Amino acid sequence: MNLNRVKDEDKLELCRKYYYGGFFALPFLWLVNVVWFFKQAFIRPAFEQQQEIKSYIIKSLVGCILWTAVLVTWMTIFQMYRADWGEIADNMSFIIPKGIA
Amino acid sequence: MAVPRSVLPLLFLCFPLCWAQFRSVHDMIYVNITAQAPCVRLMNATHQIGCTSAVSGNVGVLHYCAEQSDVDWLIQSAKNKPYMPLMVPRLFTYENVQGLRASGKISGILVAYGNRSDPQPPQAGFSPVHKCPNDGYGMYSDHPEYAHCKNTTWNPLGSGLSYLDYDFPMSLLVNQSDIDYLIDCHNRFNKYDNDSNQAYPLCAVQIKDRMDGAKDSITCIRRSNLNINLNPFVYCDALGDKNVWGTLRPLNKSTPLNDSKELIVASAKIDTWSLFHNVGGVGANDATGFIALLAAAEALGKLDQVEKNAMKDLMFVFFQGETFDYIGSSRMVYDMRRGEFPAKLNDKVPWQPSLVNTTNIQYFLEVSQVGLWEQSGGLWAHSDPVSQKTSAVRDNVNAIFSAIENATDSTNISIGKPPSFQALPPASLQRFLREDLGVPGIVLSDHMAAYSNNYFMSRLDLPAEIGMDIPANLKPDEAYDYTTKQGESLTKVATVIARTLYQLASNKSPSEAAKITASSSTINHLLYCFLQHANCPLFAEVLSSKSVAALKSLPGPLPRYVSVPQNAANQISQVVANLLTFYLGERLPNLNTPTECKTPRYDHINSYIFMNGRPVVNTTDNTTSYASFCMRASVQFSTAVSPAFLSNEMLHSNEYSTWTESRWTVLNAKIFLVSSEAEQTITLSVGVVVILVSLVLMYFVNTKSDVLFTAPEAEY
Amino acid sequence: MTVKEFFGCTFIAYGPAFALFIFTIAREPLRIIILIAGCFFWLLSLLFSSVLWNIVWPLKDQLAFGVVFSVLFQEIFRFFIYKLLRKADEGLQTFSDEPPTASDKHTIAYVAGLGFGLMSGAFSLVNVLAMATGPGTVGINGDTPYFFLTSALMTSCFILLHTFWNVIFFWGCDKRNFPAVGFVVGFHMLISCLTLIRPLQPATIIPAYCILLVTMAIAYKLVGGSVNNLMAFLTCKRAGYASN
Repeated sequence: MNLNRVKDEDKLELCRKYYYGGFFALPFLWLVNVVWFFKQAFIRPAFEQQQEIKSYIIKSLVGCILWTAVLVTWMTIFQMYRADWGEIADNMSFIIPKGIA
Repeated sequence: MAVPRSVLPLLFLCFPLCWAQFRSVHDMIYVNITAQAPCVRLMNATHQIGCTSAVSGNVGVLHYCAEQSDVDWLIQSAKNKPYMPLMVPRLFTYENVQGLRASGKISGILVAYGNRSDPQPPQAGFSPVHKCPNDGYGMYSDHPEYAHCKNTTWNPLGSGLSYLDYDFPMSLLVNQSDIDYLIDCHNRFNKYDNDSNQAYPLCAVQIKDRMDGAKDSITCIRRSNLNINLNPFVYCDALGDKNVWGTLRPLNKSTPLNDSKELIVASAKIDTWSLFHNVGGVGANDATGFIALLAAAEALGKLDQVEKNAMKDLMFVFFQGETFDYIGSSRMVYDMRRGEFPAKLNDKVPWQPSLVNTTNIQYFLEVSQVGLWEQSGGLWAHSDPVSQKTSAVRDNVNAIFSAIENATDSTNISIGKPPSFQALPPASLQRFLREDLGVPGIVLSDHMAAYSNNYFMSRLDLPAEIGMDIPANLKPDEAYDYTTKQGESLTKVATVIARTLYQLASNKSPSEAAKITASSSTINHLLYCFLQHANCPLFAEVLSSKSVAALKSLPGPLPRYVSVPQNAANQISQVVANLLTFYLGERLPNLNTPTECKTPRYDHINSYIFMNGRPVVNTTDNTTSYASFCMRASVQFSTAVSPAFLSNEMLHSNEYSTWTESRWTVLNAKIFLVSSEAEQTITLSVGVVVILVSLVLMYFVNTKSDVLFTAPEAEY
Repeated sequence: MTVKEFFGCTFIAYGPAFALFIFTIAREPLRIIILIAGCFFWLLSLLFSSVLWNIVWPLKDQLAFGVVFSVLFQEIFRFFIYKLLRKADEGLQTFSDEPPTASDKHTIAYVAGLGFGLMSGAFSLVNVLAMATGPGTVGINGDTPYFFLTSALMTSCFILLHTFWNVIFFWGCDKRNFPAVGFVVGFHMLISCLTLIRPLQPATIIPAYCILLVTMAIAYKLVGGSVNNLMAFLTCKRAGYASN
């Protein structure tokens, strides 16, 4: 969809939908939201709905960063302690590496 | 870079367009090592042992170690690490392997074992297993006096080399041509005086033998059983095979043994192990036990049927997997105690052997290593001091001993009893006593305390070390019949065993037992076939024609590593079973084809085996046919897989062997040259410069094209 | 060989061709079509020479036979693509936004030649490069240790040669200038046989690159270049110096 051809109120609606959608454990939706509406929120000259879009974008960004932080932390912990956890970790794994503990 | 499969045929087609390449690029770089016996990873409940390479293989600069100084040079002054030493057998010792490993300079080890490299076993002995074999799984696992070989160290030379975990590959090279090529490559590219390191290119070797299993048996079995994975993968398999057992006279459930204590068991173990996977011809002294027992079985099998019927039940058992914490015997005892040996009674099967339990065993005679008794002053009869505190057991043990004594008297062997405080050496009997202290038994061996065999459980336990002095100039058929020193002395041992068993089973006087003699030609043939060449007339006679064909391609003896269970028994177990059938059974002259000679479905007592027979040369048209025949004997296989793998609790119980063998997918090794890091960097830099210059140049050419190319001639 | 050498050789072999592609072809769809056509026709020549090589089985081991006929097939297909492109010229022009100019015929020849060369380059080096990432380097059987470098340089040389040959060949066909056509076929044969005599040794590189220089000079001259133009380029003169 070309954002330039969408009315401002529709943009706000779209941005809001993406923002709420992200709460269903879909941080990627937030990321898309941020990238897609970044210009609208921060670069375009001010327009009526900009403040609201801006707040959604910022919140999406924060959520996205939080998710990333949590995921990275978990992955690091899992990779570091996978061998020690033994059975629990094996049950959590989708692919079990060959030849190492 | 992987070329998609579909492109390859096209590439092949384009051959004439690729410039004069008579050989493929792969062949210009690599020379494959044709045959190797790798050290593989095994696991028990707590540890992993053995070797593995990295996923993409281990690469190291080849260094031929012919002298100790070469090894020292590697450890102390070599600079182009990692190295891949090629060692002569003599240098492959615990100290050297550990030294090289600690130096961090090696990525693997190759050991030469071709026909021209004389193994030259170290004089001091070499045993890569534990000082106290199968510790913890015998009957003394927590006995205050005898646990952990406290009062006798059975294998003092044991270094434990085989039981270490290596993160690099080790391989035994079994083809002389590979070894020659490696040495040649070393001489051409890597031969430098020991002070200065030579410049690149250097000759290097890559070994790929990545093991899939890891950590311990419990982990890898759990992973193999995980269902969450979309493509289930097996990481390891339990070690195991089949025990072979047979009785002189059929056991039949119509005359159950019940509570009678009248069964005599004679046992020996078949298997052995060396660090390198499935190397044949190892464990010569280890093999003397079952060879002697087979010859004794033959001697007793020749008795007439009336006499056999008058005797007590006599059972010959050949255990598999005993090397790995008594796999075979522990399973047999487990089955016996549960009333499932030989098989659960089933009313639908009319002919079934009677159940056998440990309580039925009146006498148990185990034949351990017996090849070196002449060096150690005679045979030794070991018995267990703990069980003999009961007088009934003590009396029966004494009865066995006196039978042996009578038998040795008549054959001029001295027999000794180790001091009474000494415990049993590692033996299958220990597994029986562990469950039932009422089993009276003796382990017959060639050592009083520590093993006489200085090469216990190593690939250097060679036939030559036990007096298999077959002159090199003999033709195969002469060598087959040649009576070696070992042949002579082992015939005596087999005779002792046969007479002892006869006396115990028939209650006849020693002088009557003296009529039984083991055949010296049988011993010669068995020794030759099991320790020199499996492709021999005896095996060719008793095996099926299919198995005989399979033996034809085998250059040496059969490997005796227990390996992992397959549908059929291991080759070695199959051979033992057929020999036992041949020796104990009767010929069925009416059944002349393999289809007729099939064990009937109702008969679970006997096995019918159609044997290939001896070749018969037809003189008229010079063709060879085989005098095939059908044999029937009450000889059976029984499962030799540790009970530990039957349930999760038993796997964790420390009661049974938990050894597993890791799986692997790729196994190869190749030789090639490596260039120096600097050279590689130069190539990369040139490439980067070329592409950058091209880009810059083309940018200017393109932007200034109007300067470079004036509009071409108008007439175009 | 290692990853380092793999990338080194790839850059050497395909770097110049890549630069040509990026700056002169990538942005014009029409040229890409012509490039692909060039690739396709080289593949066809490969197909035919392989079929021949497989049919005439007694000569399979005679490399010279294969080389000679493969060169002939390549030149035949170079002629076929010339025919095709000249026929399609007008049709192709309808795709183009700009009006045709005098230099377009050379451009077509150049682009088709690059396609021809790229395909031949890909096939001559890809199986070599496939081996290049492994741990070993050439030499255990006494082959030259510079095998990979030489292969890459030769590939690069052949890609450029095909490009310039195509320009000369097309011009020769247009002008019915048979010496020019003969020059292309002759030198193609010459350099191929050269590699046959001394397979992939550094000694073949120098004559190959000499031929490349000569071919390049001729092609440059044909498309309206001159020493003056070159000097102007090198001294950064403004455009229009020698223009009409």
